[in-house]
Amino acid sequence: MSTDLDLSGEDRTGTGRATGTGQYVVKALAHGILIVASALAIIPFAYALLTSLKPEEKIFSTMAQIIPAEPTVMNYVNIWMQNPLDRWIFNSLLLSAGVVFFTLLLDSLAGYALAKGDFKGQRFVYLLVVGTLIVPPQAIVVPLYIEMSQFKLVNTYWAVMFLYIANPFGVFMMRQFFLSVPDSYLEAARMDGCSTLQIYTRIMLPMAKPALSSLAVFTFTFIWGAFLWPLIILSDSAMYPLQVGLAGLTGQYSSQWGQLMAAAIIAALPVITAYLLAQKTFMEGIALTGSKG
Amino acid sequence: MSTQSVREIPKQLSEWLTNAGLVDAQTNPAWYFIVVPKVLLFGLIMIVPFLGAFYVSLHEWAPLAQTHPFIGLDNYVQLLHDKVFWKSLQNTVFYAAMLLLFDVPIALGLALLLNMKLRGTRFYSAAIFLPVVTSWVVVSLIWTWIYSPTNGILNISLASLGLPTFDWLGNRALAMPAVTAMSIWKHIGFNMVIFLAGLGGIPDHYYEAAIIDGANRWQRFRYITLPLLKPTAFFVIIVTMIFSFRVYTQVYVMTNGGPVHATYTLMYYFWEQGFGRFNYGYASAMAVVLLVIVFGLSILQQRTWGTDVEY
Repeated sequence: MSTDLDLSGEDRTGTGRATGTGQYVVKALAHGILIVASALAIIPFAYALLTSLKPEEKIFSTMAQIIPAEPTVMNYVNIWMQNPLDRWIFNSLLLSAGVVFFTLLLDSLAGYALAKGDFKGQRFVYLLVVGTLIVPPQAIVVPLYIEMSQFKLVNTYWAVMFLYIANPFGVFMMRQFFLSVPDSYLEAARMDGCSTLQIYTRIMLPMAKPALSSLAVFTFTFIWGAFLWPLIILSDSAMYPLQVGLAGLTGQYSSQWGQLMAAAIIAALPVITAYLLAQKTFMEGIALTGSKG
Repeated sequence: MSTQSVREIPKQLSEWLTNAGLVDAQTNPAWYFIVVPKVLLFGLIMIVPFLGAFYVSLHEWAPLAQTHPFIGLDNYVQLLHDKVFWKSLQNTVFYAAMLLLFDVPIALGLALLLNMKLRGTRFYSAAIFLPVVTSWVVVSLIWTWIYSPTNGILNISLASLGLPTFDWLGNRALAMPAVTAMSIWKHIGFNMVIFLAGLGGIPDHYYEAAIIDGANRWQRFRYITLPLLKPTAFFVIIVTMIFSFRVYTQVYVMTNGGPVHATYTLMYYFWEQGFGRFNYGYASAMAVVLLVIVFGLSILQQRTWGTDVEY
């Protein structure tokens, strides 16, 4: 797959080889634009963080008061004490972990079968993947809700997870990956007496680690941010994932921006931390959506 | 392969599969067991509700009613006469158009700059990508505060420069542009990374050969980068449009569709009809409209898929 993002700073287009003042101007201009863009991307988060550290009565501010004179964590304490944030975080983690687990397992299996299998209906299954890939999940939530209530699954974690576990993207991605594994590996394993499933566990899975970690990170980010479906299918606020609980706070804390920003920072922190630790994996996860393998 | 494979699953099952005509001497039945969980999920969670959307849209369907009378295309006829629907569609198209106009070109520009491999590229890309990993609910909350009429940083900044201030989300003319601007800010990094991957996929030797031939920077960009980036650009445009037609969360958090219907979008109105007023039939008609739009765009994408540049 051609999704290796090169962020090394190593010149490969020859742009840096030329010298002269013209080159310096171009480079300085590029740095300038990129610095402005980076600042614009970061400032709202910094602003939220600064607001969250201010006492509620001092939020009303002029430009000079943007930085809190006496930082306080009271907003964090208050929003945490008054709302089941810990429960919502637990729900989000549970849902994310569940969806990631089943996505990796089922999608790598199905991708393996589509790439290396030889069975009647294989083309049909592939068309099913490509076909469902273009169905926007939002468009099917009404009938899915009706179906889930038939199965008595409304307000359950399973109902939330099903929609995301059924997502075909991972199958498509894993198929593309497994296609790149030479058939000779499989034949050699067959010679050694490996069964179809053993080839999967012993050969295919270990080789697929980079693709699987990208898929895991992509899926985790997606589920952590999921909103519409959990909002619809969950009726009990104790079942809410963090995003749905958080959105419900806006009415309750309509002008208490210090506490709302504290909640926003708490909700953003897990993903941002993970992102800072594994920036490249995150970006490759996104880049994979654009790859045709 | 086939002689071994029979041992992998119970004998009765492989016999049943053979009798059902799914397995012949050449086929290894194990593949079916590997692929079946996902196929079942597709069927139950994607295909059944997908067909269900069309079915429900032809009925007057209240969730607690005993019967759901068939009303043909009445829901669609009603949509045609529904001013809020047209307003929602208009807002959604506006949103998609703005993303195409600003999000895609800026993302391409940033990707090209990052591809210059300047010192600090890792930091720049990390920063610009930060809004992408943050959830829509979180950035919507933050931007509601930024747009706050009295104390938001946007108005404070404008006032300190002596410029007029606005009630960004409370003004009927400004609310939709404000929501859209924030969405572009959030989404640019996503397209940027796809462009960056596309640029990374262009083989080095093209540039090397061009440099030997004496091509300058502009010529290398014009005759190598641009044509080879076309498939990526097309992909980004279509995916951005498909993405745009689903705009929902930021409207829910930032404006609740208001003021009046100024920020209603297709998905927001769908949600309000379906789960605010429990008109499942009417909401499903809107879902079908969304499906048709997204399918049209996807077919457009599939068609150009074949005309891909081969390296």
